[in-house]
Amino acid sequence: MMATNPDPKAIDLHSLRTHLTLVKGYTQLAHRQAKRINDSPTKLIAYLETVLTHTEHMAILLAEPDTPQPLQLGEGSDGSD
Amino acid sequence: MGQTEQPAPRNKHVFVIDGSVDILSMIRELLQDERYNVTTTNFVPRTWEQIAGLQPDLLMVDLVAGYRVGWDLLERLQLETLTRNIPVIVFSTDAKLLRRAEQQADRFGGQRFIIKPFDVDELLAAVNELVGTAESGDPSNDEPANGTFLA
Repeated sequence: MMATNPDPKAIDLHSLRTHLTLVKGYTQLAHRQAKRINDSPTKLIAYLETVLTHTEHMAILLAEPDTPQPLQLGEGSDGSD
Repeated sequence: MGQTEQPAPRNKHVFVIDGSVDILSMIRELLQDERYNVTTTNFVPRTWEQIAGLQPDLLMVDLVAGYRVGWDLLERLQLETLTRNIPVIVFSTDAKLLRRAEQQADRFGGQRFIIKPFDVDELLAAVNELVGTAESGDPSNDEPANGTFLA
């Protein structure tokens, strides 16, 4: 099932890409863990739970772009010169 | 006559600065698994001082559109003698920002520029190219990797 949004510009792309980084990263960590001879089921489950959590965050962002997401940064003004 | 003491072999030390504690946790997990010592922080006022004091083997710095903190840190790292020679991986979710950083590498530094989302093998390859494997090369080194979050 694909979530669609009437206004793609309203989506917080930084948050979306950050959650995607986490989904991809933890999926790869889970994959590495699962391939090991001395694998840790506890770690594998924790990695996969994190994947699910951030997948949910992405689903919320796509469905409700104005919902604040738990990704905040310190003080600053502008990344450009 | 005193015997010259060799410093204890230590694992390579990577210092990661990112605005997201979740990203910091993930990178710490990945690098510690490869036996790198890892320090993480999310842009606190004394980040440069922490880096200068710890003298890590490698830095990873996140750039976020709309925030100066990453740029300011990169510029200071380049300006100050104490930190100028520490290699830096710059990463960002914003490809344009990353390109701008790469184009101004003489001012802001950076040896590798990696877009988020990244492939963990790509990140590990960049770390390995810049500082080598985690361990010192001394076969007696069985130091476990440690991770520290600086608030």
